[in-house]
Amino acid sequence: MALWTPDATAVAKNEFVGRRLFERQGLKGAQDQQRPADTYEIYHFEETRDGEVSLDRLGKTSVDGKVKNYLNPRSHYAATLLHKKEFLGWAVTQAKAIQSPPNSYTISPSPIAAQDGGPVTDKGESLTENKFHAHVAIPDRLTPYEMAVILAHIFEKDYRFENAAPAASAQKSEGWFAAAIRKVRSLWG
Amino acid sequence: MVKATAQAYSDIWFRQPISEFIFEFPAAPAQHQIATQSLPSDQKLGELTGPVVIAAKWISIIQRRIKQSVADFPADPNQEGLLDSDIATYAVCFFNAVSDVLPAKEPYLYTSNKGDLVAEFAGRHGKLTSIVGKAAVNSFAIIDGRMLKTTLSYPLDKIKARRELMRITNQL
Repeated sequence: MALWTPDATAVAKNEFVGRRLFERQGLKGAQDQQRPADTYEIYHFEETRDGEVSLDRLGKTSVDGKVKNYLNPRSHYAATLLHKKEFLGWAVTQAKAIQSPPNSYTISPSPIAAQDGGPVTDKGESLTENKFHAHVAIPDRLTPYEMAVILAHIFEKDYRFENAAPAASAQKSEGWFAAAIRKVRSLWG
Repeated sequence: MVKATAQAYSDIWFRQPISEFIFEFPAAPAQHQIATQSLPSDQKLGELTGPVVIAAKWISIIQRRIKQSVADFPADPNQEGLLDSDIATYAVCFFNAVSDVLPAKEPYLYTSNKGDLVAEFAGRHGKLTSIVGKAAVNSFAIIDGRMLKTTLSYPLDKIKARRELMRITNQL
């Protein structure tokens, strides 16, 4: 079965969405404290771009294994190069938990195109591309901290953590030939 | 006008005259002595200290965790798990001032991406998240789908802080 092609105009209520979680060191002097079960620290939901909180669309009606396989190497790549942290997996919820009252936040599809000359997977697919990217815009009335608390609350309600698959060891930079082929393919359609 | 006080009365002298008993008040010195003695009733109401609050059981543990997490000077901004010394000071002051109105179970501590201290308190109906920053302490709780929040700026108004937090923790 082919990889799911998400609707580029809207995120349906039954879709499953995930927020990437990256490893972070705990408070140095508080190593003896007990981490509460089935909760997320709010730093996982703090915005990293202007006024938007990024999400991945993980499947149409459940977490789709193929989508997860597509996102896994890209998430590891982002973790290593952008965040300098280890990618752990996703906090998962259904889109309607974010979109429906009392929360009523819009999730907008925002796929990310591949960067020319960027790194590729073993199959020659771009690691900088993300067909399943979406985001929640932070309303003006809320501070980034408030939004982070709200999103952490939503994702904790029906707590579901989707583990990351181990990072693939072989990630290589796109060579000139692969880049040329991809460019020709994009020109033809 | 004669001002009678307990002290004055205690200094009443008795003597037996030739004819019959008469009372004789002592001269001024007794009154002067009373004025120089400080009595509990002399204290003005504004100076009275109220009931002493009983700090939460976790306060000493939290203080230790915060103090042991302070970054060496100069702090490396990229080093995770360490607190800015100003934030640590604000946090200790905040918890000292309000620990008795916060949930009884010790909070879970960590830092935000901005380096602020986050303290999460579990409650029956929700979670209280207090974020101690350089300008203020922001506290949030979501109870029955409704967000309750308060921002307490520095210098901390202890009475306001306690009132505001109790408004949230009473529903937690």
